[in-house]
Amino acid sequence: MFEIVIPGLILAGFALISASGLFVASKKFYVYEDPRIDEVEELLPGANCGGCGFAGCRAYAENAVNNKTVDPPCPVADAEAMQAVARLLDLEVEVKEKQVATLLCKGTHENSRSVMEYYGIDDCWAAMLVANSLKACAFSCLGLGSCVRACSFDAMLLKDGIVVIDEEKCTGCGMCLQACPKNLLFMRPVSGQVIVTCSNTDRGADARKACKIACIGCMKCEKSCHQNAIHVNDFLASIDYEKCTNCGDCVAACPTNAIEMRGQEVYVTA
Amino acid sequence: MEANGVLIMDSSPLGRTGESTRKIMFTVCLTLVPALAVSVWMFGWDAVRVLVLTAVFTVGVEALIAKFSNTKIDYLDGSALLTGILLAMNVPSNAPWWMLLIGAVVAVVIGKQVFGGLGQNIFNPALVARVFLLISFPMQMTSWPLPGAFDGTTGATPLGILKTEGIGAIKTIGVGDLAMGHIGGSLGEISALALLIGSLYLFYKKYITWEIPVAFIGTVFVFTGAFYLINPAQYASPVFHIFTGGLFLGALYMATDMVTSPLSFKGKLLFGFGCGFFTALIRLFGSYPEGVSFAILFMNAFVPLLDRYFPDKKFGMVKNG
Amino acid sequence: MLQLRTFKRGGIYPPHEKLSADAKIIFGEIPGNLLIPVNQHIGRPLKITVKKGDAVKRGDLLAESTGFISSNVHSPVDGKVLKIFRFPLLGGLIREVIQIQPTEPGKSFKEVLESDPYFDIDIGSLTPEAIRKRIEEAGIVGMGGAGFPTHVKLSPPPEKKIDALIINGAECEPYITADHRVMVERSSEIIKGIKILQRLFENVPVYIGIEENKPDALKILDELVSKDGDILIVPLKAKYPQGGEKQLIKAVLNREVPSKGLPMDVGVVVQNVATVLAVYDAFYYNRPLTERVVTVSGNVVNQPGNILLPVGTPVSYVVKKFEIDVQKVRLLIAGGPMMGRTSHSFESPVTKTTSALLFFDNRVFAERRENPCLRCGSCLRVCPMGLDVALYTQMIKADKIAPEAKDHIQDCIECGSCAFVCPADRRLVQWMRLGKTIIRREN
Repeated sequence: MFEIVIPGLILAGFALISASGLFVASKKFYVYEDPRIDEVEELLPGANCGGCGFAGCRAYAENAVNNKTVDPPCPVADAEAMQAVARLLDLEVEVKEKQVATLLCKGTHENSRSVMEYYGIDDCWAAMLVANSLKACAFSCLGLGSCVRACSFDAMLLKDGIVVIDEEKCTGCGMCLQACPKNLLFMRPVSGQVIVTCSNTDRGADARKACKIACIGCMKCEKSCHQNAIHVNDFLASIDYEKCTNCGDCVAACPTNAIEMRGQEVYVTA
Repeated sequence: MEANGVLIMDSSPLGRTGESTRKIMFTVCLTLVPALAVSVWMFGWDAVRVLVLTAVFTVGVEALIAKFSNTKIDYLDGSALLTGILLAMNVPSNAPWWMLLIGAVVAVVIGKQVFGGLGQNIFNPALVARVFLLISFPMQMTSWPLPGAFDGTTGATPLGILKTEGIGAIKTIGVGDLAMGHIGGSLGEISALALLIGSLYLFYKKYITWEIPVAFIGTVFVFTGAFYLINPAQYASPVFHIFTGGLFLGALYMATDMVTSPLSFKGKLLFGFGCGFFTALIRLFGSYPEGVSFAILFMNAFVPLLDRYFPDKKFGMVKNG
Repeated sequence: MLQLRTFKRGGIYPPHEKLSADAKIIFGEIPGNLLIPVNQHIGRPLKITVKKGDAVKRGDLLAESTGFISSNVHSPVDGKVLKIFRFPLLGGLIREVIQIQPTEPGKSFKEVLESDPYFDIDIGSLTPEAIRKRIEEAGIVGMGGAGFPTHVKLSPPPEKKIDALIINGAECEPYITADHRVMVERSSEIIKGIKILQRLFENVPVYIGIEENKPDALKILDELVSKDGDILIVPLKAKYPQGGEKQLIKAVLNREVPSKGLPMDVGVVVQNVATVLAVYDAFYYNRPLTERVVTVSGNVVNQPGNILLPVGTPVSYVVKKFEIDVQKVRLLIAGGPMMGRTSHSFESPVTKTTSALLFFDNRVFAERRENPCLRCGSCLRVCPMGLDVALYTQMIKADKIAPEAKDHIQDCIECGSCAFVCPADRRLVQWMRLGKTIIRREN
């Protein structure tokens, strides 16, 4: 009977010594952390996409609390969440409309023919080392999906040699913009439905030869616009979304279908 | 001016030697033929049965995985076949079919595919399966049919005899018997000479290099030799140790497995040394008679570290000027 | 037989395939239209000095350098500037080109060359500054492939003492014979060019490294320099990449250029034989670099040969001249098969660095698909720089490049030995180049 007590006591002694050691350590090495960091992190989407420029949501929360700022705002979180973060830190936040990534190219296999058979690595940056463009148009989307791999939200997929973006899933984090070696992606407010789906700055005849839907810089859209919202520079039209009212006059005026009206039906919800 | 269809664009170089994964794998399989021939000669049709069953099982399991996998797996590239043959060489010729199937599943699934398939595995798949079988079915895996004994009598390997019955029991076994395969054991354990002959071609093709086998066998020789010199009455001679068990199979075909061995010169030497050291340690002092497979698996775990901390000297790593 | 020198580490022995080794350099005619790329060198981009409709004479400046590491571009023919636009060059990059319509298309280019006046200059009277200035003006770049401006290479900072000049006649790439033919047919001009370069470095010893598979070039040059004490012919083992600058220095002088360093760090300047010939032309004929010898070879070329082409000649001219059946061509390589770049357009022009145009009906070796790395270590064994290619490419693929690997990745000379031997058909060179891009983007 007594024999069992001794090991029991020894074990209890060990436990006591270790526990006090742990207690001392936790007091001595305690680092104060603002509890609001945890709260802010709770409110953030938690996707750790890196779109804000910080190394994940925790890093963003630390910066927000320690520097008392919500600038830049989390590009993924919706307006409510951002306002909640701002309220927590006694800050004001400007409510911005949701932005979505948009591809400025419609050089599908049908529109811009392939001029080579690419054998190398399936990565846009790697392909750029071998050829600047796989299609007749020098500005076209390579269609090898570096942006698709950069997307943390499964919002992009390759189809007919170009990237299509699911605007429902896109959170506007902007990681794909940096992944594109040809700078074909840009952010537009989701309400802007009119898009010039071309990036070709060659002269009209050359652009037309390269792609069926190329913007040829004919200026018809500029003339048709009543809001002064579309302008042609370097033989390429671009839209000012501050002014555009989605009236669709330029879409009707474009002779090459380079301007597109995004309706609900073109969203990919695969 | 238009060509017939578009031209090919690729990064340089545009030429290749014509080596391929398949070629390497099937060459290694072919170089095992002498050793397999000896085992068939010794064990008869049982050896053929084990070989064919294991090969079919491993390739079959890999094909099944390839069918249900998202990534493309070339199950006919010979790597699964080689795993199967090596596994077959590690089991007794009277192993039941279900044991071989379990071995095949363990080798391909746990040994290879869970890591991400060919080239990603840390441990040699055939050895993973062998050790799994050895631990799970110790009875079947340690009673070996004696060569030429077609009546079904079984016995232990020379190393097993040494472990259980002591040094006196192995006195009758000569070096010639060991080298030629007149001993009990698994399919691949029995003829060191045939394995060596087969591997010569691999050395010639530079599929394997001398560092690992030499360091491995040399270390075993030196260690067991040291103990033999101290007390010949208790420890067996180094020659006995070299030619028994799976040392040649392990040193020439398992430790040199491209995927699970280091790349640098120093790394290879250290890897071979470690394999040899642990083999000798287990054989001399462990409870298992044989230590090659454990030693190799143990050293496999160190391969990334060896590669990282013992890299080869690079060109231009000299002081400026 | 003399002991052949070579570099120790790595290297491969691809088949030589020097099909055009005995074909004399031929001269073509002025093609219908020339597309002259604006930037044909490594370094700062040029400023175009002509505009649409301008009339230009042979040797006129088309685009001028905008800094020290930059190199002028001149017109090889008399003609008119038709258009300036972007066009795919050999190698797939899309860059600005100047289209020139020659005044006399179809005129033999040999006549054009013969009408250039000859100047019997006195080398002894040239100052090093004058030599560098002339080379810079003539727009001479390294013609071995990289296209680094030659005057920059010839102007080491004063603290780097140059005690050896190596002339690169190794030509280790399969198929290419342009340098070989130049050495055989214009050997005395090369020696004169070397004499000019020698003036720059207080008459340093000169080594001409030539691979053993060019016995005629070795013999001719050896006879020429036998009475000359400070020029040495060094026969080299035919091993790839013997012509790599660092490997050549190792082979000839057994000096190792430090990592991230330049040949001048070990007191050496390396120049290609074709570049030396361009230097000769620049002084004795006052010609800027506007033409070069190009090897035309490959398995769909019935009569492989070497041809002197003005820069800007479209590939389609070569196709016609050598009667190549375009229907058969599936692969067009500018340069050798080991380091050359593929091209997809027959209208792409020849540049200052195009040493060969190779036409193949298909690529017999590699497949489209990359197989998993077996860690067989072949790439490490053949890498002349001793790099752990297999490990680095896996880091690059995962986009997690270890900090200590970055320097090594940038040391890759892209010789292609690793991918040549890779049994899994991995695009190792492309991965390494991608790695360099990623590192550059990070900085």
